[in-house]
Amino acid sequence: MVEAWALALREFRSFLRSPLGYVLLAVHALAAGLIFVTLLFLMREQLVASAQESARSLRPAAVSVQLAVVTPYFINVASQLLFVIPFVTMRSFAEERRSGRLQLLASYPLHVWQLVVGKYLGVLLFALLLIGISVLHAGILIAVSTPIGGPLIGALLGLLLMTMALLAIGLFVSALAQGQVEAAVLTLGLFLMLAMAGGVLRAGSAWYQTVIANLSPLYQYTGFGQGLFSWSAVLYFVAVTVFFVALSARGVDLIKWRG
Amino acid sequence: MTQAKSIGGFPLPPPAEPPRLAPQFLPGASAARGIAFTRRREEGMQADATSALAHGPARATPPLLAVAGLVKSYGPIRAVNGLSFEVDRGEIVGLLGPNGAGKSTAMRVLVGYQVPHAGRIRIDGGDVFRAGAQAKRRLGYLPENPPLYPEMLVGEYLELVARLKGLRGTEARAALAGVRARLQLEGVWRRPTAQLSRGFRQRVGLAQAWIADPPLLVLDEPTTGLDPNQIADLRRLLAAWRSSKGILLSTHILAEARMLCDRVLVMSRGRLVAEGRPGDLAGHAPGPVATTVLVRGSQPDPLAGFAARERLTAHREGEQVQATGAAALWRLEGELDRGQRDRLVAHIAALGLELVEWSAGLSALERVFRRLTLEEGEEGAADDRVAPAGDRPSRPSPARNRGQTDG
Repeated sequence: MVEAWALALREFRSFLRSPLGYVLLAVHALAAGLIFVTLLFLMREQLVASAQESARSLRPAAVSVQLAVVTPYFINVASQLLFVIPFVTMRSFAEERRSGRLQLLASYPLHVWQLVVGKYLGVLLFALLLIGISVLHAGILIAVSTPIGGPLIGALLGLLLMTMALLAIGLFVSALAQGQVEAAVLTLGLFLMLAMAGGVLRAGSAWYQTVIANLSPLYQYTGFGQGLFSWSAVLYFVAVTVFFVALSARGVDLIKWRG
Repeated sequence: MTQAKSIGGFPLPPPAEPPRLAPQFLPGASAARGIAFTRRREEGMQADATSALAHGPARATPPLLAVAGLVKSYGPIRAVNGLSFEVDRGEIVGLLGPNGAGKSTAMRVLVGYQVPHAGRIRIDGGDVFRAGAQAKRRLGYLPENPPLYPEMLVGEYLELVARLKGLRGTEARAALAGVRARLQLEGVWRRPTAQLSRGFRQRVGLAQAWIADPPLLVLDEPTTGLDPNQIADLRRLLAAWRSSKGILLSTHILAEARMLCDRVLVMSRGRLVAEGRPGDLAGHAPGPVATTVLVRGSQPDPLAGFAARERLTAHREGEQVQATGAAALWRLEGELDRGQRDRLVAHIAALGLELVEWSAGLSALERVFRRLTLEEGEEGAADDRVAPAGDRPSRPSPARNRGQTDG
């Protein structure tokens, strides 16, 4: 585990020492910040409208922070992560392989699991910074309004679980790809296909539509964004994470066979 | 002892094929060809009944590196084809071969980066694929262009390598101090690896290979890109390590092999075509070395007397017209030793001849290398494809070898 952690810290530091890490953080922070500020202004307008309405109807003014900000914010940020995470995971194995460093790592007394878990933890540490932006926004929201705590924490937890699953998928694609651009494009394509499957094929129609829709990470996350906690969604994200991390190890083994 | 049947879910290669002996020097064998050693095809695969792993009578300790019947294919191309050899402690073994001979592929398989399609690799008795971590603790590997992490400082990088190689605490600190002092990395310790010169990159690469002080070092083209001073430093370092380690180095610089190696293995098109001491190989060089001496003088045959005394052949090659007059071009046949060279210089000076040009032909080892690899290239082409014997065309075609992998 010491070896895996050493690899994870190296991977994490490589993001902080390269322009890519800062570009990803800046783009995500800017886009999430714009969504957040826009939703706050919209909520203020709703509050004003609600206050005017309550003055006319003598009913108390009420705007749901959950419906006005929390749900649209987290659904949008989750969608945004579909575009960011491919660029987080693209280098993991593809760049190691292209540069020849994977060859050197293979000559060290490391098990393939240490290598894969180290890489995974490294990208996860960086992804925590991305999620940290949403934690910051949640803090601001608590300061300026009174959101319900449970759904807010649930939405953040769901975001973390979804990110972990997406990272595992991205890691696997990176283990198979020949270069980092190929890895990014393939991962992005896969994420968009899964998102479309969840968006177009709504569950509740034919059985196969239900199955395909449930394969979509974004579809599984929707419940969390709406303040609904679902154990099946938690199980889905954990299963996808474990499955694709394991598959990444097989992908690295495959490199040894293919050369 | 039970043996794993798969590596990471993939089936292990089948048990080693009937082992094939590396061609050995056998004085007198194949004399008609002018090179006195056996060739794999001449001896026949079936005759190679003795495994390279079971080399001679029972040994007290296993060889540091034992490779038996190694095969690695890329599609229909056999990049490494039945490679068998051993490396013992206290010797430097050179893996020679032209580009595309399969040296780098062989090394990638040896260090566990690629899985062979057949064959066994044991490092200090441990199988590289079955007892991976244990065997790899005994190994230090330097790839051809050491791939470093560009964003890391040299010190950070070597600390990471020490940790990945299982060194902890005082042991790790001592190892880091050792490589820092021995490889003269003090000046660049806090510098990003991306800013290192080629020579320092190579030193850092050597440092990562040596940091855990493994008994076996596998070095792929270690002097590529180094300047003469750096090459001399590296040679000194390898000579110092020789007594305590076994070193396998690949190179296509024959002078380097001659100077450094106790034994050389010559590969061509994935096969081992010769094995022996550099001196023994050179001793079987085909034909004499041609030394061309261009002298200007009034004598009609100025080198005749010298050639007769030294049992060399001298003949006139022609005449070269220069601004100052005509100069005769004389060609000497034979490998001149140091004494002969001195006597030739004295002879030229005594006759008052003007030495215009002196050029030596290929060294003996170079000529053996050329002969082996060129002949093997022509002969071995037909065997490069993994195809039933009946499917093979009777004559090799150069086009069939385009897929040959890098050396």
